[in-house]
Amino acid sequence: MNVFRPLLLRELYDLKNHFISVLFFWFLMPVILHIFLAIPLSLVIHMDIRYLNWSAGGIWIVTSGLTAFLQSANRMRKIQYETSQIDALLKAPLTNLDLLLMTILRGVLYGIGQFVIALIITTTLNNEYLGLNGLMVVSFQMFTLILHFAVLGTFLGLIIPGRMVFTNISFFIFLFISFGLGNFIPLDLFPESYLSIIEAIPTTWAFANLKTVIVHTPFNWQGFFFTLMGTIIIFIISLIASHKLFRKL
Amino acid sequence: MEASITFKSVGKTLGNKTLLADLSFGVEKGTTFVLIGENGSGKSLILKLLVGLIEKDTGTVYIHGQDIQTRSLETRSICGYMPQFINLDDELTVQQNISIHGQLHGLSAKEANISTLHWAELLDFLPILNHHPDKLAYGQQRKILFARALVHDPQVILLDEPTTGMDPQSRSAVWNVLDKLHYNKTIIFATQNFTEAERYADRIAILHEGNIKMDGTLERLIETTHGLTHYRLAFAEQPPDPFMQQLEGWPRVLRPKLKGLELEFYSRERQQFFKVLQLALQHSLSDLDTSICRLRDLYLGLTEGGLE
Repeated sequence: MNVFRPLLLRELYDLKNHFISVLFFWFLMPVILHIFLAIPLSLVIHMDIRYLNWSAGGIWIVTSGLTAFLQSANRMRKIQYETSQIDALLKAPLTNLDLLLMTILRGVLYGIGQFVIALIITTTLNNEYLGLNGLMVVSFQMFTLILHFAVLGTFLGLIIPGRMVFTNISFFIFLFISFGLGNFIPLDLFPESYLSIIEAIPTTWAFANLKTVIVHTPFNWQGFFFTLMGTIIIFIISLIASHKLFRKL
Repeated sequence: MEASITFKSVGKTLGNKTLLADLSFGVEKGTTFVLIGENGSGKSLILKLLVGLIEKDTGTVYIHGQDIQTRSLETRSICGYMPQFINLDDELTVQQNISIHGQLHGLSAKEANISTLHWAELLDFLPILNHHPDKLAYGQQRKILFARALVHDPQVILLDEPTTGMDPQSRSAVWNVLDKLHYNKTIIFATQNFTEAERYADRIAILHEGNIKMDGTLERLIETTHGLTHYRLAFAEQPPDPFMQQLEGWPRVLRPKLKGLELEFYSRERQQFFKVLQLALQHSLSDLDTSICRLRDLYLGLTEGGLE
């Protein structure tokens, strides 16, 4: 029985029922980051290329990553902890795997929507031309990152029952991603000791990779593959956690 | 008759607490089976276990001959389940809620929409199909849960306190539907409403602390009371304490209880009643009422004791 079609339809109905507010936030987030973060920072950070063009990558990552993360996590939290909708879903002939995949897919779909809007906004505001090849490389990498955040959101949404704890963790994650991993503040401005730590995180390389298209530097495939591996590992842990958490008293 | 549901030595514990204790029973196809019991007796747990929302610790359960553990997807698809608490998706409309549920159980989008409209018409909620569930009254939400449980035409219908919170018209609509369905479906419902249990059950199981204390047809259950009768005497004035003390001293006057100006007790012998009546006449007796022991009385006797 194909349960994905109705599950996907459910997400489309949800999107349709809230389309105006979703669209509003898709537009609002990149605009806010551009106006209140990128423009002020462009006045103090000087680099070889124009800062606003360089930080556009950060806007894509933070907005679409945040969207994917929050959409997956909130959906998972809502069905698992805030309502008893999990019972209605688990009663249907679907597996834990189906449910996790659908939650991740939701995050990915919203993340892609956010990325497309963020891309349109930043390229328009910065008069940037990526070209078809650049656009494809950026989209491919962004898809990997969106998937990564959707899986991370699903995992944290699944294992954290407390709303306050979840909010604090989400806030920390996105402060760290925005300011600690080189998305808005270039990594060479950080101390060496800090760099030696964050360079061990594959996502840092994946973020840097995205900007290779903008700054025309060589692409590092290691970061991409390690991020993908990390995503798969988190997904497997989520699946194991789901078997410990679903269908229990 | 062919078995629809079979429980074999099913056990479930939570920490040190036994929730289901070596439970074994069967339900025949095309019958209505009622689980009756106090809160925490295991009624909801049995239903949740059947639809795979909770895993058992020991034993086996079969639905239409299929083990619910190894053939869980198949057994879940032939069951319709109405939970005790509202778990509708507030982001979707009523129509979308029911239709998606139908499609998750194998209906095409067209079939699910037709079935949704059918149940909305039958249960009289067509005007609210495009509303979001969180904007509706509790009774209406319960009706939608009921329709959602039936949308995919399940062979086994599991209902957890189905009419709780519903107005009399909705209750009646729900029971009319179940009346029509019960010839070719297996229905199990959990309830605390004795009248509904007596009216609609083919078989009743009385649950207490995870055990079936007694099960059978209503007639058979009543037979086990051996002519136990419930008596109620009303007084114009509060009878004095020695009156009650005297009654409590009579071993064949069972569970005498004075609630305000009303005395209730049970007995299997008419003579005992006459004895009490004689005594009561000395204390401003104003009214009396007798009734054959019903399910409620049997249930109280089994769970609280005092009717042996």
